[in-house]
Amino acid sequence: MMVLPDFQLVRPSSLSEALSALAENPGAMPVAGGTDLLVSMKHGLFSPTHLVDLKGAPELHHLGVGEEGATIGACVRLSRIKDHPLIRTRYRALSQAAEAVASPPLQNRGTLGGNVCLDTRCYYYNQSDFWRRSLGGCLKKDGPICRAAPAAKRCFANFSSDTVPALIALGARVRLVGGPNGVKSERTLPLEEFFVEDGIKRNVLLPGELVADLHLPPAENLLSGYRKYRQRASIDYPLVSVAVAFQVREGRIREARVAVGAMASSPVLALETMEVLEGALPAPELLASAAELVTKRTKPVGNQAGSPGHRRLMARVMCRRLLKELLEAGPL
Amino acid sequence: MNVVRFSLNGDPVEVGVRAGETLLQALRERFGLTGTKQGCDLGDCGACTVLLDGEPVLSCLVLAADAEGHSVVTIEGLSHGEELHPVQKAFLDEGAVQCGYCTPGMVLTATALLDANPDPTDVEIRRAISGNLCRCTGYTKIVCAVRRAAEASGAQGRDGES
Amino acid sequence: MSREFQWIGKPTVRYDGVARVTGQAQYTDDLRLPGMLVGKILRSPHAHARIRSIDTSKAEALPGVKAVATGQDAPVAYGILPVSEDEYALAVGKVRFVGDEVAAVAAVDEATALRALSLIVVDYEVLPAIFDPYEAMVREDVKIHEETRVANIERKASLSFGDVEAGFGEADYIREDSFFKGAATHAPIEPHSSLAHFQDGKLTLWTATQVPHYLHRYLSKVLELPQDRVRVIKPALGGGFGGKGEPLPLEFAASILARKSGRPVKITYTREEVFLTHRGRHPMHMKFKTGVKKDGRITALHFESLLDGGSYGSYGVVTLYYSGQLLTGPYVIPAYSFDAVRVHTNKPPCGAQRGHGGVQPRYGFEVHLDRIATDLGIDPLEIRLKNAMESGTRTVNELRITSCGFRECLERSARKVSWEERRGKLPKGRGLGIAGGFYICGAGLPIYFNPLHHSNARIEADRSGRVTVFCGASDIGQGSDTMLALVAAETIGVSPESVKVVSADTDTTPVDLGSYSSRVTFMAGNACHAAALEVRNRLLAAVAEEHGVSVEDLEIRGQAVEVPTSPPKILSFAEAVMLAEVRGGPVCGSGGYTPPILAGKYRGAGVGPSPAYSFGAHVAEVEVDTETGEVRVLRLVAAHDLGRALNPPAAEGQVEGAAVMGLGETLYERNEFVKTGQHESPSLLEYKVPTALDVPDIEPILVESLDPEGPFGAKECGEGSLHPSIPAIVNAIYDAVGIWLHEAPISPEAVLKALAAKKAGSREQGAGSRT
Repeated sequence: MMVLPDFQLVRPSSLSEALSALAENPGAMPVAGGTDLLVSMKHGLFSPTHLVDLKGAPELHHLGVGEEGATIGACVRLSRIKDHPLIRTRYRALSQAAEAVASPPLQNRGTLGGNVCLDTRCYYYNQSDFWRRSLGGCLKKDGPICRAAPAAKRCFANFSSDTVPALIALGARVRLVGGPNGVKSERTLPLEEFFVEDGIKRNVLLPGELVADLHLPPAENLLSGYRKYRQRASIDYPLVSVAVAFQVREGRIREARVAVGAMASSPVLALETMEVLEGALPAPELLASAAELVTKRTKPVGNQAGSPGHRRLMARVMCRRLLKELLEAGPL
Repeated sequence: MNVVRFSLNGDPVEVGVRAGETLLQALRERFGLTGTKQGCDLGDCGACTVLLDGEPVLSCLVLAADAEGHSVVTIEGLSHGEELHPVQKAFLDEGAVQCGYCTPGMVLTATALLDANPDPTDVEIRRAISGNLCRCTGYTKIVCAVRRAAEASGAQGRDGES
Repeated sequence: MSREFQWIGKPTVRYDGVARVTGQAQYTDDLRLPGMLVGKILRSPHAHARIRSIDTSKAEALPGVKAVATGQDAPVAYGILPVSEDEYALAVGKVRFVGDEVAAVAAVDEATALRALSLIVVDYEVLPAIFDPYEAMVREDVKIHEETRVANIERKASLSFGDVEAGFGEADYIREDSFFKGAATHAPIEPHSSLAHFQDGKLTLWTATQVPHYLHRYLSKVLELPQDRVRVIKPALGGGFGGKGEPLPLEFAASILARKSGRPVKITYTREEVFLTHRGRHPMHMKFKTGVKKDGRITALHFESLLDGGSYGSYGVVTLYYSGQLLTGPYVIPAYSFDAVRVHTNKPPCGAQRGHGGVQPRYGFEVHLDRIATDLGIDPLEIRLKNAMESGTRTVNELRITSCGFRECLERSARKVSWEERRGKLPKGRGLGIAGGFYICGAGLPIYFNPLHHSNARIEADRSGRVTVFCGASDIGQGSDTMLALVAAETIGVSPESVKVVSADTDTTPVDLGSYSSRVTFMAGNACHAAALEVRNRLLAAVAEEHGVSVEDLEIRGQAVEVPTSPPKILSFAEAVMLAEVRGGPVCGSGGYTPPILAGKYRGAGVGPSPAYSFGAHVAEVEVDTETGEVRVLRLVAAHDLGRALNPPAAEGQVEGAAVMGLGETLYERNEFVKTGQHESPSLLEYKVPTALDVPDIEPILVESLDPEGPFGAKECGEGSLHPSIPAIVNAIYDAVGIWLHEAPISPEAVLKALAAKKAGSREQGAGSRT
């Protein structure tokens, strides 16, 4: 069997204990479901001195859906989100995205926080230690260049979370706690601002800082959905994903938000598409032209199955189909 | 070493494990429960599926220490002596077992499905087992077996009521 | 055999089924011996390099390391085919692909073994590597194997049968097409595993192998141990498909390490190592030229293939011949020629995978045939029926066809989907496709020359009433143990539950050549039948003598012998055994099977002949998403002529599994390499074995042509049933959206590209001409 590198397992029973453990051990990493981290550790991508298990912190398990929106703790498992009746009706994109993550047994283990913090992925990175060494490593881990885009100076590893595009489309805000400014420090930001377009850095988390929970605004009259393009209907990470949320008021599309995943090192808010949709009457030609713009800000490179051009095309098709489907189906 | 206490196939157990030891390793190497198979060790095949508090999880990606205080059921915990679980029986009768390497994981996944949803549609069955790869059967007979087990349990339930 | 069967043709629960559903079945990786060590293999990071030196001293000095081995510990070449013994247990002198085995260690635990690997220092002289087979054909400056005479061409085969020139001359229409079928790999869910134990100068190896007998011989050769001191045992096995069909490095490495350390050593491959071990489907570049009469009757066929063999021989020379030899059916081809070439490249070796050798040409030919039919305005079903071969015939390359249910396969699979009413008439995006196929029931010749039986069985009935079958046949999941129990039970007249099967142990079971080339039901089944008849005859003779009746009046049914005395007497089976035992000692029977001499007189005639051939036809119904290029198989009807279904659910399971494996390598599975030779997708995440959501319920149709020489009329069903699925899907895509796909696997991108080309009216690949 593959060997996990040696580490100490810390199992705090509260959020503050967890933050202290992270603060005290600079080589520590937090873990919740472990469905991505343990794979990476078996591949030798991470060798933390400590793993701080967040599952024992009750503060991170809260899941509440009410009039003022929804709050979902970082340790809430994806299967719970998928099956939650109010999330299914009010925040359908999120429910669909949770159901699209990997495969059912992994959804029983994986958490929302883990999926939000999912490492970026690349053919040349998500391989065994033997494989990567035989190639001389890559920029993201230990090599001199990006194997997927050798001329570039940066890492283009692909943003691969399913839930994040859905959360961003739904207008989620993420609450971060702890970090170098002390275990009591806290900040909340729109989820799209959490990510940075850099396959290595990935997000703005500071050392010792954690995602505590995600907050979704009220979902009155909200239509939303998530589409994932992948080779098999299960197990696979997205090659392209699109999430859309909007309201229809007096026959017009309002407050449209469109997010694209797996097409850059961070999730992409499709501002041009959103602009076309805003205030528009839902006519088929309009949907098509809005969908055409969805890839404007994406930067796919050849680090996944499917050429970048094909993935762009798929993003447009997914977007158009999703818009059409939502407008035809109407609210649940 | 971390000492972990949990319920294993209904019995309370206590075991010392390394921090980096997976539940799969502990089950196979410390408890000798080799019915839980290792097919990829990376969460891609489902051969190592066990039930954690009644839900299918991939034991190659669960730290053994995470079993603390929980209930773990492996394929060895499903049958009682010579009496097979209805899902096991259906797999046998339907010819849903070939090489058998995916079978423990498949059977446990199907068991959890039927516990939660006693009368699943074929699509629901296929979705539930979509994290368990089978290379021999092409899935047709596995889906039939799960349906057969559902029907058998349903019939049993009805008999019980009458 | 006119009497009604007691068991044959009815569902029999698999022999070791309870053990498999309860987790009790012991696979190799489940075995543990006291003092057992963990073995690990160091692999080459280079695609092609000379090894200047290996320094293992630091690894040996690491506490917990009990043995280190390199190629120098066993520098004896081996290879499954005597014509290409080009491998070593661990590299000697050179490495030829990223992942080639260089050294091995045995240590007290996995972490120590891995640390020890990192302490081995190998000095490599990196050599230029070749990954493209066309380049391999001409690069004289890079020799992957020094022995190849021309560039990196391992072997060429060219054969011609009948008057090909006249055949094309006679044709009203000639069409030429090129195809490429990419690699696929077996991906069994059980990774390879071997446990070696050396005691009293004798080696015992428990290993996940399809071929205990061949492995036994090569272990003896490579370890330089007499064969009587080597024992190979195959425990429960979790899927082979050809990937465990030849001696493999871990089997030698574990044995060498066990010998050196004096302790049991187990090596279980990681999933990545399974991909590197490979021996799967050869990438094949193919050209077809076929002449037909106006009505679609074939007059001549010429075929060319280029096989990308990867770094070693493996089964490749056989694959090479099969690629040509298996195109003379299931259609009557009056004149035929082929030219085939296998080259070496710096990739993991290709070998035998389910449907071995015939799968790639079958894909190409069946699509090519549909194109001809389309060109001539003939229905694809009709052109197949028109050319379908019949029983009791001989192909132009001298393959003897005994039973043949091909026509019935075509007709029944077509009827099942209402072919006539629906083909060509479905809404755009939906389509139906049909394809045929045929396959051998075991090779006519063994892999190494010997005059012995290919299969042997020994059966003993004892006074407990039990019947025990001893047979070398290797159950790899397909259910050959169940087949043996069933054949013995039916022949003798006892229930299958009273039959115990001891199989695949070279110490206790007589030789069977192994689970490859779809030979087991036919050959081991016949051997078992012969042995069982001997047991039955002894029993009945004893009962007849005891009771003064004639043997012909006796019958064993339901665990009892009915003796027609007056009044009639019922003897239990155990009582009958005792009567026989009193008269002649232990009640044993033995039987063997050797195929009749079938090979023609020409060089190369040894590959292709088989005592019988299975036939099949699949019909696929697909839906093509013209915006995404995604293809969904909605239905796959798989008709297969297996002679007789001994155990129908098991036979259906074989057909269903094969059809899905074919579907997988048509639409999902890619076994490719990055430009420096690393495997692109060495995981079950990135190598896309279909999930339950990606495939439909397969609809099997079992066609029974009752072969005159098969056990109870049975033929193979596990491999031939893969052949038609690939072209059936590709032909259905044409019916759905009007594009021909000459490369598989088929990506959505390729579908979109072909749709765009069609829209632009660009010239299509391949061409036909009227003569």
